[in-house]
This record gives sequence, C-alpha cells and structure tokens, in this order.
Amino acid sequence: MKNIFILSTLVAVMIQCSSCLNLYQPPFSENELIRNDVIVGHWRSGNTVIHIEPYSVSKIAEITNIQIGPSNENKLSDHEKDSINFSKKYVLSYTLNDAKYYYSLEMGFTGKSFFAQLMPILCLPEGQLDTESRYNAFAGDEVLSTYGIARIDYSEKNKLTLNFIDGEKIRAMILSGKAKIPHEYDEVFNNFLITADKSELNKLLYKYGDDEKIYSTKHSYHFTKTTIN
Amino acid sequence: MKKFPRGLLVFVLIGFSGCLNTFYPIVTANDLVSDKNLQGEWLFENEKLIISQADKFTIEASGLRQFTDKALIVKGIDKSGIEEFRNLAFLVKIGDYFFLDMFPVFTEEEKKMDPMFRSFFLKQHSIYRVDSFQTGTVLSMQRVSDKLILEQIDQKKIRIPMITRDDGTVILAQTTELQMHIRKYASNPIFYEKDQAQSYHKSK
Repeated sequence: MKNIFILSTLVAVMIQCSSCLNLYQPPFSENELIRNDVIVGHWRSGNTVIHIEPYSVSKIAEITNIQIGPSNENKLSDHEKDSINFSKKYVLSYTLNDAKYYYSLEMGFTGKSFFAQLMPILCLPEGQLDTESRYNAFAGDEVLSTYGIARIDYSEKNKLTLNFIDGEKIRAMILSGKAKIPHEYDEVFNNFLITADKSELNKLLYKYGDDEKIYSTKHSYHFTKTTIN
Repeated sequence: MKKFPRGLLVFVLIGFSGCLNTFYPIVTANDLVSDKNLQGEWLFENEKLIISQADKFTIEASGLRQFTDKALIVKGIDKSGIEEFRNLAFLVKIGDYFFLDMFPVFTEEEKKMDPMFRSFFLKQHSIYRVDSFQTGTVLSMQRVSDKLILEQIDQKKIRIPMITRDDGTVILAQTTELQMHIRKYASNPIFYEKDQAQSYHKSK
C-alpha cells in the first residue's frame, strides 16, 4: 500500500513537472508570425539535441503529402494549398528513448520577447512509420493536440534559448483567481484547457511573458549550434 | 472501434464531421451502474475488446476515487495482438439506453513516450451506446456522432457550449446538459456513426 502511495506520488510529480500550457488556440495568428531561419539547424543542450527545419523540407511535409493523397486534394481550400502559409512554420524534432518526436513551431513577438507556439505532431518509434497512435496528429480523435508556449531567444550567434511556460504554474494562477483567462476545468478527471482566444492569450504573454516565475525550471534549455554528421 | 483519421491539424485542414468528443463526462459517480455481463473478452472479426473492472491503482492515479467500484478498463487489441488503446469506461443508463463514457488512459507503449510530448494532448470523453450485453453473449456498440448535434446547432434548434478550431469541435457542455441531449436523441439513428457500429461476440 505504501509502495502504491509512493508510486502515485511519483506519477503525480512527473506529470506536474512535464506539463505544457494546453492552449486550444495559439496566441499568434498567421499575419503575426515571424520567419527567421537563424533557428534552423541542430542544437545541443547537455544530452539533448534538437533539430529545427522549415516545414516544407521536413519529414512531416513528406508524410503529409502521403497522408493527403490525390483523393483528398480537392478538399483543401486554396488557402490551405498555398505554400506561403507554411513558410513561417518550422518543425522541431528530437530523439528520446528510441523514438523521434516532432512538433510544429511558429514564432511571434509580444512585450519584450519572442515566443514559440508549439504543437505536437507525431511520435515515431525507431524504425516505424507509426501513424496509428492516438498520440499523433494523424490518427485518433479522443485526444486533442493543444498548443504550448516557450520563450525563444536567438539573439546571440549560434545560441538558442527555449524556456517553456509551466502549465501547472499558469493553471494555479488561473484557479486561484490571480489570472483571469477563459478556461475549462474538470476536477474529477483533472482535465484543464485554456480556451482563451488569440488576443486574450497575446495579452497574457504581454503581461506575464517576462515574469520568470511562470517558466518551467525543468524545461529550460540553453542550446549551442552543433553539427550532426 | 476503428479510428477516424483526424486530419493534419494546423497543416492540412480537411473538414468533416465525426465522432462526438466531450470535455466533461456524461456520468457522475452517482449515475454509475454495473453489469458483470459487460466484462470479458469480446471479438469482432480479428479485433478484440477486453473489458474488466478497473484496478484501484489506475483509478487512484487518475484521481477518480469516487468511481472505484464501478469503473471499467477497456483494452482494444488489434489482429496482431498489440494493444491499440486503453480507456477507462463508465456505464450509465440514460433514458432507455445504456452508454459507456470512455476516457483514455495510457497503454504500456504510451507510458514509454516522453511525458512532455504527452502533456500537449488533452484527453476527451468519447461516448458509445451499448446494447445486448445483458445476454452475456453479444455486445453491440455504436459511437455517438457529432453530426446531429452540429446540425441542430447550425439550425439554431439547440445551443451547446463548444469551441471550434480548424480540425474540429470540442463540446464543453457539463454532465447534466450532456445527459439531457443524449436522452433526447438516443433513439435517433443519425445520432450515431454508421461505420462505428459493431457487434462483438463473447469469447471468454
């Protein structure tokens, strides 16, 4: 019984340490997005190596083309077909425990900082093209992809900093009434979703974006550009 | 229990209506019912559903202590024997029909995923009408569709709290309101996904 309690506590701590913001909408709209290819490349922070590449040349673009297929092409609007809409999108990927993780990354600016809005796309176990897992953007509908936010700084040459906003801290601020922002909270199933629209989120970032207290201590990365053979 | 392709989120937006997913459950601890006939191994072609009583650890880790006695675990096993999904499930009778509220929990494979990656995903409730299981030999499952609800909203016949994004809609109605709508539409065939209706036969 004691072991179960300890294990439950560990699981709870692990979840709390690893929580993103869970935004339904991103804070930056298409016309607010920034393109700066200085972030493109391989970046190392300790044992963590991430790869950022433009969406158009990414593995995701390749898979997407397969997934769309000719039969669905005519369902896309002109807007969606316009490759310009992808020109400010990047794909961030990394490998962890024999699986490769892919996120979409877009950047915007508010207050004094640049921010990256990230959304998970796919987790591919090594050697597999697993597009069936419900934890990816290609399949499953009972789990919903949400946006997370990281402050991004690429002002120093060959350096890149990503500080993720800690979802648990924002959640605590909202639930205690310190931050008023539209959200849904189901206490029974411990489900929390920030439903604010783009302008409300932009204001939130403007107000709290430079407050170090909202950032995750675990998910704060200082990367140096590296070369991968 | 086949999955619908959900489109490609922000990149590729293929609009279609699909299964109804809700933020809040359709059941409270007080509404829960139990029927041992639902538990067991159920077969549909080469796919298997294993339904059993949820273990205490899974429930407590999910913070659902009040559901302890009647919560179920539903495991979906594909033809090659791989566990495709695992859900907590809650049986409730609404009007004349029984429904299962399904809520995802991690399979052993999903537990290996980076917790940071998983934390970007919000778990939603999916709803199935279940029939015939009382016989102990046949389980008929129909997944609730969002088609009828969205039509009714579009025609301004009902209003339901919801949020919409390019890749779909999340219904934000609370449990009582959800039960009211389910009671109203439960006997209407359009309320269900046609190709999500399956009849399982008990194997164990």
